[in-house]
Amino acid sequence: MSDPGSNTNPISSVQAARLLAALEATRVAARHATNEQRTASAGLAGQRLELEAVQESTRNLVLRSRDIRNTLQVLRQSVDRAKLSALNAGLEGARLGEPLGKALVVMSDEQRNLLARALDALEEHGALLAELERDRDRCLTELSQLGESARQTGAAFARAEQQSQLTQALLDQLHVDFGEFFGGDPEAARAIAETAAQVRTAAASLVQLSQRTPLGVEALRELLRPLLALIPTNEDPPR
Amino acid sequence: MPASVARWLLPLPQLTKIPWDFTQIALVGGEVVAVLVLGQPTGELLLCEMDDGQAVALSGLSAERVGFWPASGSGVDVDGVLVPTLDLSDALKQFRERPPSAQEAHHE
Repeated sequence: MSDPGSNTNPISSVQAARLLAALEATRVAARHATNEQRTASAGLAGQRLELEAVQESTRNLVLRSRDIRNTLQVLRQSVDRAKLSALNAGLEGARLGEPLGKALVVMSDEQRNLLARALDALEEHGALLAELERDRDRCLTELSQLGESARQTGAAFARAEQQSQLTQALLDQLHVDFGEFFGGDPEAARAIAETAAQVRTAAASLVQLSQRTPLGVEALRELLRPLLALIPTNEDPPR
Repeated sequence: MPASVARWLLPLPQLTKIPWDFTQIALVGGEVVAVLVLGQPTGELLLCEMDDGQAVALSGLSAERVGFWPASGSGVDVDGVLVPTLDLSDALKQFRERPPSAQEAHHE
C-alpha cells in the first residue's frame, strides 16, 4: 500500500474515503454498544441486589412462620387446658347433682363446644400455615434459581463488555492506522463517501435521460459542463 | 364413669415406670399416685377416687363430655347410645390379680 495520490495505490480515493467513513461509523456503533452494555450491566447489578433483598425477606419469613407456629402451639395447649378446666367444672356440677349442679354442667358443656370449635380453627390455621410454608419454600427455590441465572447473565454481560471494549480498542487502533495510511480525516472521508453515493445516483439518472430523448446526449453535456469545470485538470495551474 | 369416682382431669404429668410391674406412678398435687395405662398417651390424666378413698389415676383415655344422662342397664344412655359404666374397682382387682410376668408382657 502507498500514498493515495500515487498511481501504485490499488484502491481509489473514493474507496479509501468509503473505508474511512465505514470505519468511523463502526467505531461510533461500537462505542454506543459498549455504553449500552455498561448501562444494561449496571441495571442487571441493581436487579441482582433487589433479588437478593427479596431472597433475604423470604428467608425472614421462615423465622416468622416458626414464631407463628410456636404461638399456635401455645394457643393449642391453652385451649386444651381450658377444655380440661371446662370438663372439671362439669365434674363438679355432676357431683353436686341435679338440680344444683345442672347449670354448671350445661355451662361446662357450652364451654367445651366453644373450645372444640376454637381447636378446629387452630387446626385450620395450622394447615393454612403449612400451605404457606410450602409456597414459601417453592418461592425460595425459584428465587435461588433466578439468582443463579442472574449471576450467570451478569458474568456473560461482563465478558461481553470486555469483548466490546477490546473491539473498540482495536477499531481505534485501526482508525489511527487508516489515518496514517490514507492521510484522510474521518469527516472528509464521510463527506466524500456520501458525495460518491449521490453522484452515482445522479449519474444513473442522467444516463437514463440520455437514452430516452434524442436531445439527451447534448442535454447531458450541458448539465455536466458546470460540474466538470469544477474539477481541475493536470494542465490547469494550481489554485 | 360416675362423677363420684372421677375427681379431676389434668394434663398428663411425667410418668415413671415401676420395674417388673405394669403400673406407673406420677406426682399429682404433691402426692404419688399409681397410674393405670389404658391406651396410647392422650395428654390427659384422670384422677379417680375409689370408695375406700384410695387415689388412682388413668391415662390413655380422652374425656369427651360431662353431664347428666339417664341410666340404662349397666351404663347410661348418651343421645341414644348405650355407654357402659367403667367399673374401676373390678378393673383394679383384675389388674392386681394378674401375675407380674403377664403384666410385663401386656405392657410390652
